[in-house]
Amino acid sequence: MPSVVIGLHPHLIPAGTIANGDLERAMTEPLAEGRDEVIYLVCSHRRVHFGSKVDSAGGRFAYLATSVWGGMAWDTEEAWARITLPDHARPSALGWAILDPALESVEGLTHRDFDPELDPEGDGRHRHELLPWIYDRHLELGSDKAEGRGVVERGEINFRLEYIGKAEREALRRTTGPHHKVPLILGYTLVVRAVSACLFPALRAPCCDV
Amino acid sequence: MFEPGSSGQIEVPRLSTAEEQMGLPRTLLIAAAEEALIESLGTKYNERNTRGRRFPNSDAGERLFAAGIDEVILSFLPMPQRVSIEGLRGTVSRDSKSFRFNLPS
Repeated sequence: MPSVVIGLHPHLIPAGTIANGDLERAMTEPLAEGRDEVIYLVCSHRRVHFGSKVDSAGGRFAYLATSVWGGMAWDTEEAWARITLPDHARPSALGWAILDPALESVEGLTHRDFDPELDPEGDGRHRHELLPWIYDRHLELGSDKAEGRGVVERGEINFRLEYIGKAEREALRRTTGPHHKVPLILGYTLVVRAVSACLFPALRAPCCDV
Repeated sequence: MFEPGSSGQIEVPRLSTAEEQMGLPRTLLIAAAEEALIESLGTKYNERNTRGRRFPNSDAGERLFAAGIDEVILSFLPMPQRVSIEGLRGTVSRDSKSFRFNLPS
């Protein structure tokens, strides 16, 4: 009798997408072309943050968060990643984010309704969380897309799987029903454990190793 | 679909194409993917919800077997280098192999 092969293509979406009401956007952005069906893997990761140090070659360093009573601290003993930014990008003043106009010019990600007067940095139109930005650099390693987008050395990303949300575009938006624990889990991962959360919609893949 | 025991790289059609060619309902394929993912990686909250019904001894597993399928293979497109997803039971990274399930007869 035959076998069925189910291919999954992981794609990372920052958890803030839910809070911003933009989850549907994740399915309609230019890079979402070809997405077929989605299963949400809610994952957590220690938050990452730019340090202030810049080495003689222009490299910047990112550090991992550690949990402490009453808040969050940074493990500055050892840098988690060394990052060489392209000329057009720079760290956000928020530390855990980056300002990278290539998100719009290259990837076509526009920020709807951006109002600089309401933005804490004034020019945060191209602000992107640092962790998914580094994920994208890892994703591009060895491909033509990596050209001019920045270089990340080290920066191992080890996501911890918290919850698998059923397929359906509205799955994570429900306030009750089978997915009512998602806000709880995200709140837990974001606040209590001082980690950032990400979502992995797992998608059908064009080709699979079996 | 392909012959059990085979290995290598194969092209996987879109869900709509698979639905037409295999005659399996899209909802069944998606349910099987979800249940197989939960079983392969393992998450605390999902397992509280599913209790003893774990893939392939689940509704989707039984329906697939009734439709003439005896093996399900869950495969990730290669993850980026330096990235992994770790569940209670399994981990996915660039070098991970696919997860195979023999359906209950």
